[in-house]
Parts: sequence; structure tokens; C-alpha cells
Amino acid sequence: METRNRILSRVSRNKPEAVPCPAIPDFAKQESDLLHRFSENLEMAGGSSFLVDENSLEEKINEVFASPESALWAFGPNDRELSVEELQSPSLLDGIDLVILNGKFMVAENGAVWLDETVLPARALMCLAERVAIVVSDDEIVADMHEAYSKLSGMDGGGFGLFLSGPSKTADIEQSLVLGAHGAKTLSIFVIKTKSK
Amino acid sequence: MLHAKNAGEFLKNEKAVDSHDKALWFVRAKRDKAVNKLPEWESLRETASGIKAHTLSRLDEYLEEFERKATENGIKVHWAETAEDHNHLVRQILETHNVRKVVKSKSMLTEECGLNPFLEASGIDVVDTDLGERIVQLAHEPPSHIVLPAIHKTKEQVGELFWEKMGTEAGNNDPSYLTGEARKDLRRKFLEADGAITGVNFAIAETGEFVVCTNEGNADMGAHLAKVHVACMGIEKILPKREHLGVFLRMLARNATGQAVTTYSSHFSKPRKGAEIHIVIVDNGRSKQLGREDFRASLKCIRCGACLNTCPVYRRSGGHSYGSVIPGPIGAILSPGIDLKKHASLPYASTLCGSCSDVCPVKIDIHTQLYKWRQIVAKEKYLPASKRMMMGGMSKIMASPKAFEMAGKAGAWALKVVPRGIVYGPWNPWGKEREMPEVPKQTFGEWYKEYEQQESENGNAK
Ligand code: SF4
Repeated sequence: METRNRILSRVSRNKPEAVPCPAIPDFAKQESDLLHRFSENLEMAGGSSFLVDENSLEEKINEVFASPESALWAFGPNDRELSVEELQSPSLLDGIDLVILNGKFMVAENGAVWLDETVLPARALMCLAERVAIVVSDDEIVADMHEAYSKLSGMDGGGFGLFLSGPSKTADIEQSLVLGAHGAKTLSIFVIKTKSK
Repeated sequence: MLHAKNAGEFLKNEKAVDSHDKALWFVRAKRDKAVNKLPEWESLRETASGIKAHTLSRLDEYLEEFERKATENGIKVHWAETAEDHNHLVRQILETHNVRKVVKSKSMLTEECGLNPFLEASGIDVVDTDLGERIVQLAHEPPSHIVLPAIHKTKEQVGELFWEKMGTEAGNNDPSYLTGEARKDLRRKFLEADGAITGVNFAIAETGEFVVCTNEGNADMGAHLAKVHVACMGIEKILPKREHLGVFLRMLARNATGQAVTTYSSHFSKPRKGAEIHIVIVDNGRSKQLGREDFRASLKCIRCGACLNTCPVYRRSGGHSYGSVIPGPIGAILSPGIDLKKHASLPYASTLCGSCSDVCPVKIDIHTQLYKWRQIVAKEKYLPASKRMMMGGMSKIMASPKAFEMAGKAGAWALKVVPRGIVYGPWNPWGKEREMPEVPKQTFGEWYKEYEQQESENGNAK
């Protein structure tokens, strides 16, 4: 407590005169073709996306991931509930080949998908699996991060959430890009068509 | 500690210098491409800088708000005045949970505090999990860049290091093979660890949450598996509102590596069931820096590393030559504030070209601050004797037009007639590793006189 107060009072003594906080300008949005921009940016981040009808989702997933060694659906008719032990010691979840999750929404400008605890039965799932697939509906998309945060403001995501953009990656050895540094080696987004085109 | 002397060491390996320079310029070029795609870039910079200036002007209030909200969320908040305080606090948290094995993701703050050796001395096993940091940890070296810790190493050097320390195939220097081997090794460490340490990129006063950005996912892997997660942050990491993240997350990765956003931008607000999150808020000289009018803007830094990548001196001298935890232009304005005498040569490790200030996403006037530190260093008489004498002589010569003219002519004459061995001797630092310019036939003064005469002969009166 003493340390805390000492730090805070020194900060208050040394801080400059108050200046107002600027408002975030309303940047003109390129609203057209958000999905196209999303998939382009996702590809730049090392991921891939597939546009599918809801009733052919399973078929498509089976086609993309031909016979995974082990798969865990976190939602839908194939879902598996995690055991109490797995929730307590998430390291038990290591070794899963494919995890299929629901995403909340996509961000066009950077190919990211927002996930939170309402769709993550265990936080560690999205980084332990070798391959991660995320299903999200095509009308859940925003242009940029400003819109993303206004969308998030009314959302209770539990105690954790993230923007995930592509598979885990590193370029720490001579700037050569390698996918799958620690987490998912591939990230595939399945976008469900809701709009008739 | 002399930057120029250390840089001389680095420059001995011409091939390594070349690849260092090229790799960083490659990153800088990618950054330009990403940034130029956003028409609103300059407006974002202006906004980001303004948000940071506002936050610093009410930092105490925002810190208190953050503490209150984080505590409400079930996060435990601690305060550390110095590096030692920080280290003791972290150890205490870990020991309370009987943690013997810790996985750590990148945090320049823990580097600044010397946390790793401290914990190791207490029998706690610390593993750095960012690949670049793992490389330098295995090599017993400090990071040489704040975003790319092992940028000074060639793949051959990494291959040899992994062969020696992890038993990888001898002579296999393929980056994807080496990364794969490190992945396997570190996966085991993640699964065994009972504690995780991460840094903090942004902490939000309004919500009490904090954001950690990585490309590898190592911060997530550690934090979501271990039963206790300790997040260490400097007092300047605060942002007032969640919506401000929109501005900063749009800029950070674009400016750092040219990516549109980092792969994992993770928002922690509550510990998961059965686990704990602790935050250690560290001052360690920052509140003092806040009181220095000329230098407080340095606290706006979001550690994107762009000023390092663009700096012609950094690219050709390497991060280790700075002898400070944060190298490059930003390090050269932060370190003298911590220990002026030790870091007196750093403000001179710059051409003052201003490229650092141009790329800075929060518009820190880096090169102006470098110039201001130089004046302080000179006043405090911390300049090396040779530089002091030269500066003293120069100022006398430059103050007198007659002396300046004579010196110019003498220099030109000397370059023409004096033997190479003497011109390029150790007394002439300008002749080191480079050719002196060819001497023009006329001095500028002579040329100008002639020009004026011709102009008046041609009747072009002024
Ligand atoms: S000073 Fe600016 S450019 Fe340099 S690391 Fe900090 S934020 Fe980035």
C-alpha cells in the first residue's frame, strides 16, 4: 500500500498539465465487398477461408480435413463437452489434431476473427490444436477495428477474448516466415452463407 | 560504455552486418507498404499521440481506475517501485503457488528488471518461449532488438546453437526445421510449467483488462495452461478506454512488421476457473521521467521497434552495441534518463536524420530529444575527451569566418598531398571504413565569389 501511494503521488506531482482526450475520428469506411477483403487479408496472414451453405458445412469440413487423427467440435450436433479434469488441467487437451470452433465475427481490414469464452470451452483449445477451424456467419463482419470495438461494447465475452488472425507464426530465424511456431499450424475459416446472392 | 567502440566490434563481421542491415530494411519496407494502404495513417498517428498525451496528463487517476476495475474482475494487482521490488514480488507470487517451472513470453520490462537471473538464483527454472528470445537465452545473450530479439544471428549460428543445446541435426540450418524442433521442445515445457509470465501491451482503465500481442501464440499457450499467470507492466501502458485499442491495434503490427494485426491479440479480464492472474505495475524511474518536460514524451512509446528498423546507425551497429536493455533511437533517449554517465555516448549514436520520428506511430520527437540529451551530456562533461576537444576546436573555428576559410583550405590541401597512411590513421574517425570525399577544385567560398562576379558582369544585379 505504501509503495502504491508513493508511486501514485510521484506520478501526480510530475504529470504535465491536463490535456483533453481526442475523439477518434470517423474514418471513411470502404464498405464494399467486406468478405472479399477479409479473405484476402486472412490469406496474407497465412490462413484460408471457404464460403459454404449451412447444410453442407460438415461435408466441406470433411473435405478440407480429410480424416483428422482426432477432432473436437466445440458446438453443434457433433460437439463434445469437456470433462471436469480437462477444464481443470487443460494440458490434458494436448494432442488434439483438429478443433472446430464457432467465431463471433470477422474483421475485414486484417482477416481476424473474434473469439471469447462464450465460444471457447477452454481458453487453451485454440492454441493447443495442430489445426484450427472456425465457423462464422457471413453477416457477422465489420470493416475495421474501430467498428470491431463498438460491436464488442455490448457483448459479454466472459473473462477472455482475442482477435485471431491466421495460424501461429514466427520469422525469428533470418526473417524467414514459418507457420506453426507454437499454436495452430493452419487456420481455416468457414463462412456460412446467410444472404442469398 | 562507448557505442562507437562496440559498433566497431560488430562491424568486424562484414557478412553479418550486411544481412542485419538488409533484414531490417526488408522489415522497414514491409512496414511502408502496410502503412501506405491506410489513407488515415497520419490521422491515426495524431490521434494515438493525443490519447497518450492525455493519458500521461492524468496517469495517476487512470492507474487507480485500472486497479479498481481489475480487482473487481478478480485479478490481483501489485505495485513495484524499483526493479528489485518487481523481482521480489514476482518470486513471492510464484513461491506462494509452489511454482518451480515458469514459461515466459516476451517482456522488455522483465528484461529491464533482470528477472530471469534473479529467479534462477532462487531455484526457479525460467524458459523464454518467444523463438527469438529462446535463441538468445540459449546463447546467453541479451536480445538485440525489442521485436526481433535474435535479428543479429544468422541461420547458421542458430543451427549450430540448436545442435549444441537441443541435439538437432548437425549442419541443418533450415529455418522451418529449426522452428519445428524448437516447437516440440517448448511444447513440453509449456505442458510441464506451473507458472506463466507475460508482458502487457495495453492495459485498459475503463475495463480493468489487459492486452497481450504475439504472433507465435506463446503468451496464450503459457497463460491458458499454467495455474498462475503473472503479467508485468510499466505504469505507462495504460489506455483510458477500450475503444482506444482500435487505434493502437491498427498501428502496432503494421508499424512493427508490416502485418495488418498480430496473430494473437488477447484480452485478459478475468482469471479462468481454478487459476489466478496477478498484475505487477512497475515504476522503476518512469514517474521521474514523467517529470522531465523535455523527455516525458518518450513514455508514449508502444515498443513497435520501427525506429530501430529505420535507423541507419542501428542497422549497421547492431542492438548489442548500445549496451542498454532497449537499443536503437528510443533506447538512446530512455537510457540516459536512467544512468546518464553510463549511457552518455548513446545520444551520439544517431545522424539526427529524423527518420525515427517520421515512423513513430505516437509521434515522439525522438531526434529532437537526442539533440537535447547531447546538450546535457556536454554540459555535464560526459563527452569522451577526443570529442570534447574536437567540438571545442570546431566551435572556435566556426565562430570566425577567417579561421573557417583557412581551415577549409588547409583540409583540402592536406587531403591532396598527405599520404594515405596518415589521412586514414586512427586519429581520423571519419576515415574509418570509408573513403574521404574527393577534394573539389574550389572551396564553396571561392566558388561563390566567382559566381557573384559573373552575375554582376552579366548585369543581373540583385
Ligand atoms: S519510439 Fe516510436 S517508433 Fe520507436 S519503438 Fe517506440 S513507438 Fe515505436
